[in-house]
Amino acid sequence: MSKTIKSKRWQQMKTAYTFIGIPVILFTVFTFIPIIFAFVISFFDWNLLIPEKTFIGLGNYFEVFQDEVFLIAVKNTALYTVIVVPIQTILSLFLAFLMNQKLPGRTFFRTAFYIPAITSSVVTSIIFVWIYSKPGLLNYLLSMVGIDGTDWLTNPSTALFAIMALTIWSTSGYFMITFLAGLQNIPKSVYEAAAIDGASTWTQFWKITVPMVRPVTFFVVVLGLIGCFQVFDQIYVMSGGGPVNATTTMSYFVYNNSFKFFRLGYGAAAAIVLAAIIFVATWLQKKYFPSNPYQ
Amino acid sequence: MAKVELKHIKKVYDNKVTAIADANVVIEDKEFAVLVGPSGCGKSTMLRMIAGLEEISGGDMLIDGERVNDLSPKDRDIAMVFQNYALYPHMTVFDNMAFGLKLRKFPKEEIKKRVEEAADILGLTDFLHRRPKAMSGGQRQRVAIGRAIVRQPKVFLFDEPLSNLDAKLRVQMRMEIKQLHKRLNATMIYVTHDQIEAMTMGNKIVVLKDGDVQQVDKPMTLYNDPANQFVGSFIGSPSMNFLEGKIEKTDRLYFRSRDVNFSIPENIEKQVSKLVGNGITLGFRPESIYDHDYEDRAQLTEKVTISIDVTEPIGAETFIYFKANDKEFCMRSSSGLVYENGQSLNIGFDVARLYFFDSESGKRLV
Amino acid sequence: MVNTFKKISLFSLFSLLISCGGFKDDEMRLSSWVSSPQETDLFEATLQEFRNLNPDIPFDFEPIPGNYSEKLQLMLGTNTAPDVFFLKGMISPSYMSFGILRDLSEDIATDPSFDSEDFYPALLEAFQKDGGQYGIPKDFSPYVLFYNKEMFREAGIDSLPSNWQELEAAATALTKDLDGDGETDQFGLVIEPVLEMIMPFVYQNGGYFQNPDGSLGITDEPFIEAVEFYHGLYRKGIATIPTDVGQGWNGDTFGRGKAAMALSGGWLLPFLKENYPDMDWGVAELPAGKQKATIAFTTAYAMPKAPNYPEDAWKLVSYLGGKEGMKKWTSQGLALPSRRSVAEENGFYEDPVFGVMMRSIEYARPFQIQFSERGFEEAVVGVQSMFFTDKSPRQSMLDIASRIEKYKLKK
Repeated sequence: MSKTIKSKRWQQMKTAYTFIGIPVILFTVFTFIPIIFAFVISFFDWNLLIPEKTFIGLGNYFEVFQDEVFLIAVKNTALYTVIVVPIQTILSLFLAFLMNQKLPGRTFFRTAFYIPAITSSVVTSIIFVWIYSKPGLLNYLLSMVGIDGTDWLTNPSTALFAIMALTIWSTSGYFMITFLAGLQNIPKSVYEAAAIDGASTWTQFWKITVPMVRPVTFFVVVLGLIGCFQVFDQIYVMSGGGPVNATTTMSYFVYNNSFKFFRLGYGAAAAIVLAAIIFVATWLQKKYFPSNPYQ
Repeated sequence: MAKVELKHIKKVYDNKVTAIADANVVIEDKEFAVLVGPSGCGKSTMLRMIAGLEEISGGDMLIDGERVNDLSPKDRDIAMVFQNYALYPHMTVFDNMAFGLKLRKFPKEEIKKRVEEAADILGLTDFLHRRPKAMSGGQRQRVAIGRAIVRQPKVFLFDEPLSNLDAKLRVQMRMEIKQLHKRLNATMIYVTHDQIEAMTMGNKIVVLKDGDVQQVDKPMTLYNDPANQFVGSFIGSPSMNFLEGKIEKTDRLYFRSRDVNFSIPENIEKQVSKLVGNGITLGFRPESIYDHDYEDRAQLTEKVTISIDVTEPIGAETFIYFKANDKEFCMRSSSGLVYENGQSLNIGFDVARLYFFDSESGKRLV
Repeated sequence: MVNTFKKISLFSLFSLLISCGGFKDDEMRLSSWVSSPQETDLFEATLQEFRNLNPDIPFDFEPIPGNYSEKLQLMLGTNTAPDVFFLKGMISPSYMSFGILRDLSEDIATDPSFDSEDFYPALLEAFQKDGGQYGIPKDFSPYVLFYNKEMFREAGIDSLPSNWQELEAAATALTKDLDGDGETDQFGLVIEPVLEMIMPFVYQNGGYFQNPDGSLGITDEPFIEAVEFYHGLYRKGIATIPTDVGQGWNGDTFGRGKAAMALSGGWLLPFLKENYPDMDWGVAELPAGKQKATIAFTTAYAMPKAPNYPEDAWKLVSYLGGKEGMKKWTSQGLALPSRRSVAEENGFYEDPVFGVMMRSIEYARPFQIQFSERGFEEAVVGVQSMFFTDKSPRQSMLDIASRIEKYKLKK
């Protein structure tokens, strides 16, 4: 009796493992192994064109931390993240809250806000290159209120902020939908009770909505962080890391050094450092700002 | 003074559906009024209009003589207890109750005093620092009530607050709410679909059906003196029996239907004479039917013979079910006799407890 | 069940390995980048000629769209490169230093009809290193001065600027505020904030990016003077950069009449013909500094160190880079021949526009950097800081000098 049960269980396990096995193999080959490979070659000096790979230990890492451009990239990435993530999170939550009210034209606005998120980032980047140019749309609008604008992408002090604005514009719609789903989970009666208690719509937003969507907020912030650390498309299309490295972020630095300058070992070392930073950031967030669901 | 008046109140939804056509209700200060009716009758809509959570399409809503149609909920000085409690899950019990007061900028000591008082009344003192998640349904409902109490509003509104609780708890909470009403001496408006709840709790009951007010009266008045067939059938359990037939005059006035025929008793002869020829639905409560051979009441109609379907002897009473005119009827006998299924029985109706309704409109005629 | 599982996993592993490994190709392969449809058509026609003459040499023409250099380098690194490919003059120094190209000297020596003396020496030298020849130049394009004839007439300028002072004077006269709103609508010159456009001025002033002895020349006076002159035109407001007037490059800026003069090359000709056909423009040799100089962009046919079909590949290169093939390729004027005889035969010297360009080749230098890509990028950053921040040219060059030092290519 027990023997048949055992073999039946074994059968089930074999089937289960086969089904899991195939995606695991794919994941291993295309994600896991390349990561390990990158880690390994970060200790080598290798430029892809020459077959020899020279082992240089931590040489790449030493060079990375002394590389002026790398340090600029870290600074740019940090600045970018610290500004984009909070604004993006709050804006998308606020938009979701608005979209959840019975306002006229709701469906139109919902669609309008979401479209940037699903439009190719290359396309939106190119459009914004035109908008940001000296005789572009932005400066035209500013001139109507008497402000004389520069070329936003070739001015080192504004280039990165211009790209930040583009990112916030395009991803807020996506996170708005995420928050909307979270908002639907808040029963209407809680808002009604708050209204009776005397809360204005503004108060309701801060005292009811914000605390009750905390798990979603955590999710949005983590995704936002990861996205910001990896920002690439817009920089590649719009500014090529310039001017004067003003928009060189860490992922762009890795790309440049690996594929434009053909120092794969060096680029790999920079990528490993980037990965370590993302890891630490997420860990810190989990520790000090947990999602802690109250309900 | 916290009198609530509904004058020609109308509610129309924008898809042209009229939920409430023309409601006129007065709830006096300190009254415990119950809005009762089957699902979809508009009772919750009416309550929410009083609260300000629904727009009033027409008519005037007055609280304390002041027209409040355009006032937002927070300016009407009302508090509401919801069916699903609607507590703030991320706040403690204390904060839940204090929220409304904090928003109105009450001083800290005052808030503390009120919250602790309310907690004391409701037995929540030990739970003040817990979160709703860690409490049972009944406790949560008490917190919701506490949140209303601390506001010391002119009117308390309850929207089916006990529907989510189990039967035993419901009975207990019913009593507690009634005691609360006595203690706070405030105007309370209570919505329920359960007519037993309505009967036991309210001083004044508003019976609603399909958005129309059927009758507004004290509980026993509703029971003994229903204004129409609906109220008659809705109030009372087991519900009133109905029999369709006609009034005929031959040598006397008779009530005629296929299986049940009897002559109209003298005391109501005059009134019933006006009903000759019309379609009549006769209503009589189960306890108004008596065993004709056993009961020696002068107050009974002449006997009608029926055949017993099923009996349910529950001890102090026996429920007897029989068929007439292809309908099931229920009789409540406290005679103490034993009845058999299939037994033929002579019954009589209490002449003082006969209700005559117009078959078409349901309106009570006699 | 276990057996099936084993079989599936073995099979997947096997197919993965196969796809990774390199098989010998069935045919010789030639790759180029993709530019305009006209060029592609013309090139294919040239290839067809070769096929007609050599029916026994089959080959695959695989143009690479998109990021040519990156894709090529990946192929070179994984030993899957085509037998013949286009090589840009600018990066040939680094490729040559990595030793990944085939030395074609042997092939040239054993090919009687090749006649390497026919080539303009500057172009051949661009692909030489330590006595070896690593590419056969297929064409070139020099920087020349494009000018708007109508604007010149209106400004009353009847002679073309032949030196720096005259260039500055002409640009000043040609910079106008046409509608009187205080903003300049027409600039004398459009320049781009890129290193290659600065280099002609540097060479004319006797400077070098990298001195012949290998040291960095960017902090030497001749270099800095040239850069200051170039940048000065911008600061004085008589030269503009394309982004300032909302254009993508100087071609559009010139074509739309925002500037009276532009430095450009052969690629501007089809562009102007197609987009601004009614414009009355001309070309002139660049004004000279202390000496005449300009830079030429050139591309070569090259082979990887170990091609699959070396003899067949050389036959193809010999044809395409030979007199016959080049005659056909340059017959429509889309590119300028790197062989003197072909230029003379096809009448390039007589043409008013091409003649200017052919004469420029005599004193042109190939645009090349003896630095790695990273080094070049740092130089680009230096140029950007000049134009987009308040840093002076002198300061910009000093700042990047130390950074570039470590990226010199191994000699």
